[in-house]
Amino acid sequence: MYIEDAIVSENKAIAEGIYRLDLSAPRIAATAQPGQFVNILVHDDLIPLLRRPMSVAGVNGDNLALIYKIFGAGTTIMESWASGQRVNLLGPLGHGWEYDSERLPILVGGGVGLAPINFLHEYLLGISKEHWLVIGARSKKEHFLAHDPANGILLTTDDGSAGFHGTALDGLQSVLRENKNAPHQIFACGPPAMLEAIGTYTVKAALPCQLAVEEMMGCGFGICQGCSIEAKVDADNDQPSYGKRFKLVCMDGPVFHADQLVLNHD
Amino acid sequence: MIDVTVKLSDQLILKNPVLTASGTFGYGDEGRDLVDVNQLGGIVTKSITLHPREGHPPPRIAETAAGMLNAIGLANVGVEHFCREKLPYLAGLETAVFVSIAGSTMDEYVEVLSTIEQANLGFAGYEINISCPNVKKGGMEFGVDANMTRELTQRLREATDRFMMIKLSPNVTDIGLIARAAEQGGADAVSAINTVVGMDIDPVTGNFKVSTGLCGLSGPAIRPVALAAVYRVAQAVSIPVIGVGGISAAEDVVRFVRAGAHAVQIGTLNYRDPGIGVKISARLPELLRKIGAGSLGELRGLVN
Repeated sequence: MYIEDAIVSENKAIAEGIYRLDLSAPRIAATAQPGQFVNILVHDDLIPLLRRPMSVAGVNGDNLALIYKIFGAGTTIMESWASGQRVNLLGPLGHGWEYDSERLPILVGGGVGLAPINFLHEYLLGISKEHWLVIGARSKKEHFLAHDPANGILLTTDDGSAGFHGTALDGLQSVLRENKNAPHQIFACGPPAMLEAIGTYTVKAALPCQLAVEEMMGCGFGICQGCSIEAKVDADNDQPSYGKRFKLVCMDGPVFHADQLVLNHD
Repeated sequence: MIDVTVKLSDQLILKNPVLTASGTFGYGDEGRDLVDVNQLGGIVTKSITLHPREGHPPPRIAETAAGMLNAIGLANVGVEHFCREKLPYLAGLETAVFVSIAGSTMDEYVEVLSTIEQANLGFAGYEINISCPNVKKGGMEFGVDANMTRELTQRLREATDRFMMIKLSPNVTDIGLIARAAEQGGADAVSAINTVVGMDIDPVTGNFKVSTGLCGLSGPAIRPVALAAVYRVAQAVSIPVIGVGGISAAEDVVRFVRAGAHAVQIGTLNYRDPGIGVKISARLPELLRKIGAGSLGELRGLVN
């Protein structure tokens, strides 16, 4: 965990409303693992007050990639950054994906949830590990990769304008049908409704699945206790959340096994 | 040589006036990769209760203009675990450590404090949290009642010789009255303020932004409220006052000292920059030189 002044090298739109930010941050880049995040100080003014947590979308040498959507005050400021901009980062933070080399990885991403999925995808490409990448979006405009099932890339769209017509969960189920006999593991990140659908499905079907979740966050390293999430796992109180019922997204996560979380709050 | 030390009592001299506020710096060990905590004037721990507390359901925090709402619910490890796993590290630090304690009854406060006393380790003293707005029983219940504040302070005074400061709530009609009750009960200092009761609502969904609805506002948004409270408290008591509320710069430290504070605590800004307390204390001599003051103490109460 470091506090590092990073320098923006590139900041550009890669699909409708989706941006990719590359920053030089040698210390964080050298240690970041797929699934970990950084907490970004967007400027020195006091509004917005808190840092913005964002999953690392990839690492290339000294460079760190982030993927973001303009959502509020923080990301509006981020969109204005040009190359050379100095940005204070805290990271890498949290626990990343637990990858099992004996299993076929099936990666499922949606929206900005693509960032930690993309990092894992690049990592698996780097070690030449065969895997599936399922990316969900509302329509073709929000995609920046090409639908390429022959090479393990399956795009889904809610409106059928590209790739597979259906949700990310539909796409996952289609990949699972094709790979019935291979021991696999699922990695998913995306909007809450998508995570709830995939988490509920995989827990019911007893499939090994990890979810990278988001929660409103204060500090990113356990001192504010703000980013609690309801968990099922019993443990003693010698853990970041101090208790059994909740876990902290920043320290215990942001990656959790789907069967550890309380996914339905109805 | 500009003097930034702070004498809180004959036994207790802080190396500088910047402490961390309770609940905003954990147990002092979480951020040790990022900051040398021994350069701080002191640390106030997360509040400790008799039994571990899991805290409130999410969402526990929300951001506001230059502020933050929270209802953590005093999530903590409980006094037994604290004495075993956290206190030995804290006692080894070369900065003043204040253990914050909370309870839902007077007996519980006394039991927590007595348990920590029995651990027989070296640390500066206590901060008594009678002002948490986010728990159903105890907490602010004590901090809004002068008689209960006095009685609780007296009972805790009998249980320890260590330095003891009482943390005051701004959610009262006359904070000076509560401060005087703490002084009469034997407190060595008071700290002000805890969070201001606040709330936010999502206009589209109608959901409370923090799960408890009512919660506590902190950060630079409340700094003027805190400054006024410190000013009133400093007029009401003769024991030291520790200013807390939205401090984000060395200039803010001087503001609080001019309002009558001996020292300050930094809270919400630790989330943004865990090193901010050390940075602010390092900048103080330069600022005092600019103002033309030889020490921080000579500015105390100097306002016109």
